[in-house]
Amino acid sequence: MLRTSILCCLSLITAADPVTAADRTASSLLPDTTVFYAEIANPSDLISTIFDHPLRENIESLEPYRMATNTDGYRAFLTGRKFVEIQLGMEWREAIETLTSRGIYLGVDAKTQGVALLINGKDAASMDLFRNKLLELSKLGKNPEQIKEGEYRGVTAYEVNKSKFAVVDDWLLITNKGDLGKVLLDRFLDGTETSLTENENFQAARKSRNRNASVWAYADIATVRDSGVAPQLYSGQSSNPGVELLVGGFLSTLQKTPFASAQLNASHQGIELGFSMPHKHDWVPEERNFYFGPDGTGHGPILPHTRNTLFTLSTYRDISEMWLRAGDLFNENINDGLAQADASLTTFFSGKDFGEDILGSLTPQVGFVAARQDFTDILPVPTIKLPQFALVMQLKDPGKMARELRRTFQSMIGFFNVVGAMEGRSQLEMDIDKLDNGAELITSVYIPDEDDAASTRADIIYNFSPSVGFFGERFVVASTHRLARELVQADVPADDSELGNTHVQLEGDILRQVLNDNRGQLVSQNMLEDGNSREEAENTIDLLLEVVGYFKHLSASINVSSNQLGIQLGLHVKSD
Amino acid sequence: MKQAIDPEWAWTEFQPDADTPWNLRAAAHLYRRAGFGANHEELTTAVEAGAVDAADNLLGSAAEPEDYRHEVTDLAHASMASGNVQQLSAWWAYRMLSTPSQLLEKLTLLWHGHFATSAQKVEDAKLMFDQNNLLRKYALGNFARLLQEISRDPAMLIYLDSVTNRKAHPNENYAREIMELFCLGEGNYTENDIRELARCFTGWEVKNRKFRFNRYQHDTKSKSFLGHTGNFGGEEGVRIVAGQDAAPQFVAMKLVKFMVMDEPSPSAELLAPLARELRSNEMQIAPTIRRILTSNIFYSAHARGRKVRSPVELAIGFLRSLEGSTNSYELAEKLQTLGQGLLYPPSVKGWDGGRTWINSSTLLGRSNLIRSLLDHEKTRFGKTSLNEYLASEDAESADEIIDWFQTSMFAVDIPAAARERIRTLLSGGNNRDEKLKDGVHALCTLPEFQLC
Repeated sequence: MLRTSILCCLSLITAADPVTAADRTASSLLPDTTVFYAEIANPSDLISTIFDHPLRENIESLEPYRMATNTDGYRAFLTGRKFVEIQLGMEWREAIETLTSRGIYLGVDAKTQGVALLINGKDAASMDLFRNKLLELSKLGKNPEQIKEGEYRGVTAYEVNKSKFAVVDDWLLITNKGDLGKVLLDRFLDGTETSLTENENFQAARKSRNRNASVWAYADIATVRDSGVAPQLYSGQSSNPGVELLVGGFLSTLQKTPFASAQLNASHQGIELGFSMPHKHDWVPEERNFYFGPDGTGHGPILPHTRNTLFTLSTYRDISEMWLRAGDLFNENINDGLAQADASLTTFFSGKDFGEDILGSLTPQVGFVAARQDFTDILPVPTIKLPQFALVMQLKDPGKMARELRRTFQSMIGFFNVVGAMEGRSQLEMDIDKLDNGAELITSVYIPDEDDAASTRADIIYNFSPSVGFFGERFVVASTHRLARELVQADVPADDSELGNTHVQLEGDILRQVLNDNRGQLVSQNMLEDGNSREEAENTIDLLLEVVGYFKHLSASINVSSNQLGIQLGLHVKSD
Repeated sequence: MKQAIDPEWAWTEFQPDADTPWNLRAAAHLYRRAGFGANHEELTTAVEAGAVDAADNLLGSAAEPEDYRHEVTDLAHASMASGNVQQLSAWWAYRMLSTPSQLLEKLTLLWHGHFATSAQKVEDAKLMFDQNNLLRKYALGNFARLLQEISRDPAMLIYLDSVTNRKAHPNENYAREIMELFCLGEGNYTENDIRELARCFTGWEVKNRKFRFNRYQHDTKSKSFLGHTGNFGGEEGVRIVAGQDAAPQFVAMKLVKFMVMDEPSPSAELLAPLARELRSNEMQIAPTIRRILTSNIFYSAHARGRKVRSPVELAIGFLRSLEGSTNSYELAEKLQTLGQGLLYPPSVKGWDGGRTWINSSTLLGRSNLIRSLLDHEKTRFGKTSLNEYLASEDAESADEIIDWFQTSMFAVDIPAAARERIRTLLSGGNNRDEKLKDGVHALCTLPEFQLC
């Protein structure tokens, strides 16, 4: 078993042909029928990023880490690792860095339906050392006979547990299909057959590769699509308005794009993962103009800055157009539901057509802001302290629509009060405030009972004071009057030309504060869910808070240009 | 059987002898009835203390430590923050598992079933919490006072459709229930008594989730019931009911059936000494509880194994005996599925109890409950695995494990055939954790385990 594991993990080395292969690349060894390719060109950098990270010391000081490394299983792992290190004459990290010095590559071949792992070591001598030592180790295992040995064109190959592998020069080739193994060796020995390197799509994808990327990957979307795998993904249709809003544009591109690539950059500052694929505006049907805009370059708004911002979303989505084109986008069931909603909302908005008049009165630039609430000088204080949030939109014709929306909001508050009275809840008191900058606020505040007025364990409704605000074209619908006030007063930079289609960002420090505001609640939930004592629950929640405290922010964005569509995800940590 | 029990012998202080020794199993019996169950260390301490002192210790610990009360109160407020009463049900399950005052919690459960009020109808976590605290406050206190307080409790009045009570149309619901179910029992009042008592309660209302006396709706004319005549208000009405001779007898019956035996129903003669004691103590509950827990009959064959474990006793007892902890939300849900949802009694009569807990459906449910507790990822025993916990209790071989369970959790002996079957389960297989769970599950699904 030990031998098998070692073989699988590090592989053994057999005598290499005296073929010079120093100038070989993994893509030149893989066939041009490869549909997926991934590479870690510099594994030692990635290892260094992880194991030499400034946060490593913090993480190792955490109690769960200490507990996880204080088990019999972990001690057995360390003993096994030490044994292998002694055999190899070097520490595990040096061993891995030597074995994978020139990269780790993965390929999936459509023709043979095989998967190949290619590892390029430091040099042939190092690979020889690995082979000899690990062969010795494998002989100590329980079933040395399970290792089968064969030869192909003078290269010795091995088979263990249906995995085939061979070492040629400084390359270790592993595959699950013998045919793919032969293809790899043919290319290695002859170097004349067509390979992935010559593939036009691969070459095009390669051009956008960042040479310092920790991981880079390529997928031949056209072949995968044509093969009938995951037909729903390439159908161009969604059956859910939420999915349509989120990724509708991607569904159209996936129907046509020939390939996609991804790259991951890991550094002490965090991880950035990017996906991109060729994109043409012509590929997007008219009914999806709501996603990218009529000229394909619709971008989200720059949002007014607020204090304690937890989360922001800035996006281009012409929701009115999506609503009106629902018949082309969704199936009958969805359309029936939307028709019902349209009728109700049209009634709610005093007979105004919801899709045309109400949604149509807004520009496609939509913003959403969530911010931590500060209850320092506020009573009553709810037991569960939720972030305040707001939609930030632009009115096409504020002179016409502000009055309409103001009246609708007043009706809505009246409706809440009637329902609230029936359920014995507090009532909302409305107010109108004209600000110095010309902005107008229509606020509502829950009026607590006398008993609850000074409570610090008040009902969850005291997180809310629904309000709307108007400032020029800016229209704000907020969960609290404080946020509404802040958003109609905040300045916004004028130039938004650099913005992408969509951008979301979550701030780590504020998230930690929000969680900390609810620490007592989280501790209680943990006690009831996990059966923990208060002390245990506090330790668990404090650990969560500490880990969240390591994050700076999490972001995601969708960017579209005349020839490319991409998504960028980022997780940034505190590196000091 | 009824005639065989001599009341004087029954309530005389228990003196252990060779036939009825004071040992771990007797102590476990005390903890199962006066609480939910105890671990071996608690049982050993109780044995060392002696039967009477062990009961006194349980009574003495009924005053919860201040720190604990603050802690569980905070936990309750957190549970209620979302307004979901189900979460409060989970909170009570957690409280039962963690309380250092088992007797207090067990009697709170008794009074919850007695003054049954369901959150299903009340739909207000805060009111249910307030009522739960009220029941706990008087669980070992003055019954007459508890009766007064519960009569003005908003949750109770909402549950009994008594949120309004006008003199023109007196609401008879509460007047009926207080006499029939809460204090006197059938046959100790007349329909006219109900009508007259209902007039006393006119003007009692619930407004904005609070009790309110509307003096304009109170019937100020003279009322005549239960041998008393006068211009009584609600408080006087409750006092007259609690002052009836039938009241202490009724309460004693409730206590004996809850603490001593489901069947046969205790005779009036057997209850008489307790009823006298209740009356002489002005309806204070604690002295009567003490007398029951230190009595001959409590440790006799009339009591041991003569009750069926309720779902709460089954689950909480199982966990407490093994120092267990688990996901309280799921535990509360499962208790509800088995018919004893905390804060969700089925009707104003509470839970029938006794044999009604057992039928083919609930037996399967009880078995599944134990299995789910054993398998749940959040379940721990003494903060560790079942395997490690039993090893720490020196219960490692199949016989040691069976003996350990018999001592702390079984009211009657495990039959030889069952013992052999479980020995095989505990001995087979390679995965010790799994076979332990299989063996313990089999033990806890035995018919004998269903007895308390």
